[in-house]
Amino acid sequence: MAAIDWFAQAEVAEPVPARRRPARKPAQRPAARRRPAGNVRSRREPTQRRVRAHIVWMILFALLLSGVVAVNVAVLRAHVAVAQLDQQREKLEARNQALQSEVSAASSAPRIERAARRLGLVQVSSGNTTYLDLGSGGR
Amino acid sequence: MKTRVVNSRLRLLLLGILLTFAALGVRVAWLQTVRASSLARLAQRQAKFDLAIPASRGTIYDRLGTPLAIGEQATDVIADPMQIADPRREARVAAGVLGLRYRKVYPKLADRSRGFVYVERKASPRLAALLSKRNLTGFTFQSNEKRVYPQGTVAAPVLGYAGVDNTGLAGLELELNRELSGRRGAETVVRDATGQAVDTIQERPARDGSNVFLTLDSHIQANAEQVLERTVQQWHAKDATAIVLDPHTGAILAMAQEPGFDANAYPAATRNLQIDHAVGDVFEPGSVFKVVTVGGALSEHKITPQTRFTLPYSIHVADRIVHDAEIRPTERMSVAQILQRSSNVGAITIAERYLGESGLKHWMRRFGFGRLTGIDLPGESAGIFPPYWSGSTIGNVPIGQGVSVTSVQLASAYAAIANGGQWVQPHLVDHVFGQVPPRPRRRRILAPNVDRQLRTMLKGVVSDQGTAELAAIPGYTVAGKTGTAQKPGPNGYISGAYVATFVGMVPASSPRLVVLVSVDEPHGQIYGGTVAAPAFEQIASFDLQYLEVPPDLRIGARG
Repeated sequence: MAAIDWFAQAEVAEPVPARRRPARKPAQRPAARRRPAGNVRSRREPTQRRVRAHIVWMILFALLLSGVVAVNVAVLRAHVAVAQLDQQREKLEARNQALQSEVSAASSAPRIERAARRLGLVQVSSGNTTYLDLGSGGR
Repeated sequence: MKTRVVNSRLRLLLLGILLTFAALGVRVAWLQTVRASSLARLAQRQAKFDLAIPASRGTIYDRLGTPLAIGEQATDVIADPMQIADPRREARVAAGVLGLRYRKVYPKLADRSRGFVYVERKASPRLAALLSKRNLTGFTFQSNEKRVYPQGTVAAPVLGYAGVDNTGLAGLELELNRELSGRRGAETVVRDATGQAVDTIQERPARDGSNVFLTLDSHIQANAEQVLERTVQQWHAKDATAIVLDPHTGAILAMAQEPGFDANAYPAATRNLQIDHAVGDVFEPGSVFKVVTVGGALSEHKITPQTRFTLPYSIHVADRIVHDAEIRPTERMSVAQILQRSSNVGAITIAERYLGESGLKHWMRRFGFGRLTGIDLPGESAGIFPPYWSGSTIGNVPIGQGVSVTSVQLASAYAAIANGGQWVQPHLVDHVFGQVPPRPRRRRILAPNVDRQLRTMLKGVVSDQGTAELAAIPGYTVAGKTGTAQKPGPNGYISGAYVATFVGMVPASSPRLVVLVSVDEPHGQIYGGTVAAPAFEQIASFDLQYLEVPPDLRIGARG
């Protein structure tokens, strides 16, 4: 809808035909002032400039608001990502602990000894250990 | 005319829009000022949740970094019976998934007088996740930490136990509870409508507990426990204790006892199993105590290793007759032979002539008996001295009867002999991560020359002339002392009940290890040289090879 200049001078409406009166010598009326065509156009130009300015401001304002919303959405997404990473970190730490525990249990001497016995192995007795004297190096 | 009508309608529309925006503006202003605080509180209640951040308990490692006690993730399964419409069905489902008995679960869920019950504490996270997917009404799940002892029976009494709320209740878990416990944190979580966390405000971070590194070696510990298990079985003994320690640092490499138990099943173990016998139990040491008598007399320059005594088979002390373990004629023995052959008569003679009550008491305290060693384990006993000295007490105490000591006191005393006469406080904790390692107390109890003499005499015990031939280790010199002590009862000594002990140091030329073995009430054989000395040999042999200690004897020789 084109902007309406509320304060523009309205176009003169067609005058109501006057009631018939005894003819009188018609008074010399000044000729109706007609605005040259160029003047109407120059009145419309400031209006259009104002309209354009308003549109620009609205667009800028909309961009600003969109930017604020985008920033907030980005921050929220980052928080969600942080929370997910925190959960992941906790899971990994728990997994790490569980693995350490598994390794310790697997390497425990009683477990190894039981497994060795099942395979028919026996522990070396100290009496069966001999030492080799490599000498001091001389012949 | 037409234009005027259009204009007035437009003005009316504009006015309407302005009024609407004005009304909205007023409403916004009112909400943001008058209702601001109440709406903020409501939003907080709905979207913000205050949570405690659990702190992990520190891990206990052995000296090589093998975890002996560690926390694993667990889940507490909690139910609100007031919200459960069908407790039978839900109990069936929960019991089936968690592997519990229905009869234990159903009563908890059916009790509508309670709004909070634990269905299972510290459940497996995998099973809890499976149960969570069943979307049972009234069930919630909370992360927790479960204390696990991966090596099972290894060092169980030493490690102790951390209870349901991860607080130390016994052993090192209790002694080091302050270091191992962390501090809970606090955070506020903002959730969206779907319950997803969109913001976390950490008000105080959690501080995890400190990790602790022990002096224990899990392999040396496990080997000692296995040797004790075989010894107890072989001699049908009541129980047995072994300590392996580094005499120069006081670091305890193993503190074993049998029977043992799985540390993960601590609550199910009997009280007797839970007690660490090495620090908490006292016993009459017997002849291993003779080093105090001889060491004291040597230090006071009253005797030398070559000083000779004419010793009958038995001796009268007040109203008592004390005799040697083996029947023999009257002999002249040197001090070295008194120790080598463990002559009771010889030890009592030295104590009576050169030390007396006051001297003996002095040297007993000097060797660390009658007082706490200060080991970093709760429940240590100081031992028991005779409440009063009668005429016959001098016939008992010098040979290790009538006085009670702990295994750790005895091992530390022999460690002082192995360490050139300097006593070092025994300890289990090497360091707490992030803290300055503690420095063990030291004090000199014997002059170096006296110590050398004593050690040389103790080498003679582990020979074919001595009482501990079975403690000999091929390739290494061994020094030590046997002990066979009667056990006291409410009405005097119990017939047939003995404690067989051997304490040795190896290699004797430059000791790296002191090993004590004590066997309570062996049957079939009762002597320290027969029951405890072979166990010492097995433990020490393994440890010497494990620690790669080179032999100090010519190959093929036995020390």
